[in-house]
Amino acid sequence: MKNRLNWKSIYQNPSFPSFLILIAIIFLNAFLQHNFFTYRAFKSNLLTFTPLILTSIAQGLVILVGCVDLSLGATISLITVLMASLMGDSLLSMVIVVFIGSGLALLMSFINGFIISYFGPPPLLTTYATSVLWFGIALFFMPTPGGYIPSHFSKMYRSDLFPGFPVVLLFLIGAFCFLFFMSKTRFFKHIYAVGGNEEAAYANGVNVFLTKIKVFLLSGIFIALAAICVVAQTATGDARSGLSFSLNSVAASIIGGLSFSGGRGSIIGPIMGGLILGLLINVLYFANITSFYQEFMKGIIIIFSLAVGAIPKFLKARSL
Amino acid sequence: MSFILEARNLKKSFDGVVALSDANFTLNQGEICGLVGANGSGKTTFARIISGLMHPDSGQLYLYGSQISLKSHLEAERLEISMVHQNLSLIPEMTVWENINLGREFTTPLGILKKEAALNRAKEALQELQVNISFYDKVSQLAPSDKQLLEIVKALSRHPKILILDEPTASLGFRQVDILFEKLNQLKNNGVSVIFISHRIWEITKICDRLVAFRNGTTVGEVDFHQQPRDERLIIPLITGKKENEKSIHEKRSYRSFDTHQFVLEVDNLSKKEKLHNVTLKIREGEIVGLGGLNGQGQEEILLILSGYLKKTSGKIKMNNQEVFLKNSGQAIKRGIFLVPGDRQKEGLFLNHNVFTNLIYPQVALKKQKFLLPLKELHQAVTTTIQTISLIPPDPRKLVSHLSGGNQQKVVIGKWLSLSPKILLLNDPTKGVDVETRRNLYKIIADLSNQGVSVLLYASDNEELIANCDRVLIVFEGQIVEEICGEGICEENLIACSLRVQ
Amino acid sequence: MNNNNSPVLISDKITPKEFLFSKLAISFYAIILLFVLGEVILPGFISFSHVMSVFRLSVFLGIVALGQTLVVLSGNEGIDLSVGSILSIGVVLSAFFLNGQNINIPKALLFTPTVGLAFGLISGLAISYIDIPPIIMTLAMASVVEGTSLIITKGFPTGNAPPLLETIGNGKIFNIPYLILLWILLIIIASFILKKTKWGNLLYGVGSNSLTAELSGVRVKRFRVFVYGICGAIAALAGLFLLSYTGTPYLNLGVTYTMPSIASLAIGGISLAGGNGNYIGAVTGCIILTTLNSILVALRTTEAVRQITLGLLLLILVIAYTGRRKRW
Repeated sequence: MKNRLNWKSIYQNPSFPSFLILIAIIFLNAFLQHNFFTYRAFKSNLLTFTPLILTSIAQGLVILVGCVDLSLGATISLITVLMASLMGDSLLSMVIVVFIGSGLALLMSFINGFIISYFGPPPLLTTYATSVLWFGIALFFMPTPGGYIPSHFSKMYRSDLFPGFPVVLLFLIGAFCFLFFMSKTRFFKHIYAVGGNEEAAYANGVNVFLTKIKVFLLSGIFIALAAICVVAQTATGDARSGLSFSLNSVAASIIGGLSFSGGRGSIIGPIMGGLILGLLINVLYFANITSFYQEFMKGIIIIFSLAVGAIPKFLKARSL
Repeated sequence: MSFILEARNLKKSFDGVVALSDANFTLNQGEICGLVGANGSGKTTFARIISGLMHPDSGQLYLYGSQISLKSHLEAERLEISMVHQNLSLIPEMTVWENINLGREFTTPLGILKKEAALNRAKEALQELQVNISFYDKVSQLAPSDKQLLEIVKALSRHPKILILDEPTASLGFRQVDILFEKLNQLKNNGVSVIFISHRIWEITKICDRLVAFRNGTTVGEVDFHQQPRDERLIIPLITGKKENEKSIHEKRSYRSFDTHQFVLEVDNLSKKEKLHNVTLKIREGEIVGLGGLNGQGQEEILLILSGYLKKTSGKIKMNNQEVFLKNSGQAIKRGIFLVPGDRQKEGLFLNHNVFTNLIYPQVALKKQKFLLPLKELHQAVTTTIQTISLIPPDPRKLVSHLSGGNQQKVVIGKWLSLSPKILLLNDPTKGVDVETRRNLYKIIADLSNQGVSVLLYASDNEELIANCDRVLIVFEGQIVEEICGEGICEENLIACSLRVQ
Repeated sequence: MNNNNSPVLISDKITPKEFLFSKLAISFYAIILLFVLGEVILPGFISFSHVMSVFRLSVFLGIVALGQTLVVLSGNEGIDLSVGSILSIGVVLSAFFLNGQNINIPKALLFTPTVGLAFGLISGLAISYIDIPPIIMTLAMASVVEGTSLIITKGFPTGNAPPLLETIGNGKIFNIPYLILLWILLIIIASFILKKTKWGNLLYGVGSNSLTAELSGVRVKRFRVFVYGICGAIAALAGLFLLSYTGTPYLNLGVTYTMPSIASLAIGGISLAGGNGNYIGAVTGCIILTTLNSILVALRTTEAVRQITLGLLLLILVIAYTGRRKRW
């Protein structure tokens, strides 16, 4: 019997359809935006998409282990508020505040993870509750958008490391490398085990409790990164800035082939899903869809992508 | 004489049902000891206790000479006890090699997986039983027999000192069983001790050195094959509690002739992709027809297709000479074909609702049911049904999840009784049900049959087929290979035909 | 112990002790507690007219929560995150159909829920037949509905409620607002349908164990589509009632109703897994939420404090109602 990796395992991977969709979308974008392949367009797209991709990774991890995190967006909002409140002009201040912000992200994710793992309530409701809580706290410290982000912080984020290589790309590559490293660990396999069948995972000696908490912490790292990007890009703290991230990251994960019950799909899926969503929104913009139609189209697009993603499952069920 | 494992006076009950009342067991090092007993005799409960999955209510457990109390199955694993159950520990979406290594992965100090070592371990493990699957396959894609083998090789690869196998051959083919037995003998010679739990007496007599018999939660006897012949006739009485020449615990019915009765169901060349091939059968009014054979040969599929739940690929189903198309359960129900499903908790009950709600449900679901429920009539019907099925306790308000397994099964059957069944399809209705309830259920079925209801019964326990059926159809690999009638329905014939032994 | 979870109420007694400790009773205690607290903080809180006005505010949430209850009861992790947007479009559409004329009331009563029904059916179809998870489908649908609302109004909703409707929305009889009476009527009808009719009983089964329901002859997929449709229709109808209260339409009135409709179910002790619970639970949840909110508003707290309070409360409830702690 063949014991070598074969093509079957790639195209049967639940995240494969999203890869195809991604290719299609890239072409569509290139078609509509004639300067798509220029460096300027590339960089501007990158700046816009990075937070979405990072949050999609964060959400994807949580979904893989069998939970969902609706408080992602509120967490990001709160961190931007914190950073915009504390940051000063000195380099030291910037570094410290970034650290504090990241620490806060980890703490908030830990709280979610701990409550869900220890008490066992439904993740949907729990993270909704924490999202309201974080939102309230953010509002408390900054009722209207404001705060201060030193201009060289933003500029640094928007600049190039060296000609042809934006700083933000470094962020992304760093994130991907870290993710890649993590995906080779035993812990990562445990994520799939717990997401796939908690009882069976336990029967094999996997520490379900610890695994879930670690996943939320790992997710927190990506949330922190995303928050830094957001605050650098907008240069303000805004309690409402994160709203769309929660929903978009969930959509991106599902489009990327992840299953809500957990344990299914590649972690690359949410990355592709995030890209697809971002590019689709681009398509809307360049196709000159008026703002009235944008919200509508966004919804239609998500539904369409989900439907397309569900086709392989659909076909398989039919043939049984 | 020191035993490697000893259990004394174990007692265990749940939900008011006594599973073990006085279980005793001894295991020597380097031997294969069988554990036999009828359904509900406590074998699986016992196995769960020794493997640490459950705690006994009382009694003592001795391991390697000293008394222990197992806190969890993980502790048992650490003490080198390994148990193989049915599909408890496989993650469907992960591959074979990932499953084999789960929980004991080889890693670098940083936690990175050593994939090469993992693949090797998988390769070695699969070779132990010559399992012919690619370790890149996802478990969800494997055949049940391969999944079973995977569970076994997983346990083997932990190099246990004590191996517990609970019905390991249920889904295996003959060749696979032979390979397993070879392996068990090898292990025995290496000093490993095995507890082999099985219904299949012929396997027990083949592979075991000794056996212990349970009945109704108590140890009733031992047979040591070093001193006694490997004869089934020594074992069966221990299990059934009857003397050798009494055929079975159920009353034997006199064989009825149905030649004058109408055909109510005719199945022509029914096929389902990969599962059934040209199944043809006919049932007359009032007949009780059994589906026999080893597990998983297609018996379930036949029942599920006839009940409208599964789709057929080809073939005709006729009732009273007219072809019927059973596109969903509702259509079968409309015609009086009712299914009593195999997994009562997953398929037959609403666990968080009470008896009343469960019993009236199919009636409420009828298309002709009016919008406004006729509560008074429903209450009356339920009261009658509860009496007919002898529900204990006879309280319609009781939550079904609080009933014992046997009473739950009564509810599963009971909900169809008030709907005038024509054909009753039974998918292993007495699995895990105690003897008394089994008697009750079969009395109900016999009564129904006398009233003209036809029954198609799949039972994994041959005894039930023997005691209740007018005819038995043996299914093998999706086909009906033999029909046994009347006097010919006996254990030897059923087993021989199931195994395709001449 | 038998509890109120099974659909058909067997007309036997539940012991007084059981009732005192049931989830429903606890919710009642909470409401009373809140009102007492309100009175302590703000004398005059428990005046009849004030209590009535708090209840009236709960009506809209309560109607939306009815649809949500049905969807959650139907199982399969059912949830409808588009109810707020459907409410919004309900407001806008009703205003348009009514155009200030009493004559148009029947027309509005017919068409508005129909549009909601249509949106719900689409969600239901995708969820049942294409297997898209309810959370994400209804979330996406929310965008679609909101967008539709924008498109058809071009940002400026037209029309307004006719006098008759405004009277119902704002008037009282014996000092009890008409809206509350309407809600009570709705509660009675809903409870009746859930417990004593074929449809209600089937719903509980479908939510409790869809396989058993299917094997008992229910076409589960089809059934669920219908449930989502009804939820949409109810949400749209709630929009019509909201319009009767406000008089003139605004965009996005519904946005603040979606999540609280789910929260009210959690507070009312309805399991999100389905198959269990009744509408009264959601009703008490709505009242608790609205009362709490009005206390906070009266205390002149900022939105921030209100959100924090709500969040904490929800979190504590969610943990408390989970019951057993997982063994790992």
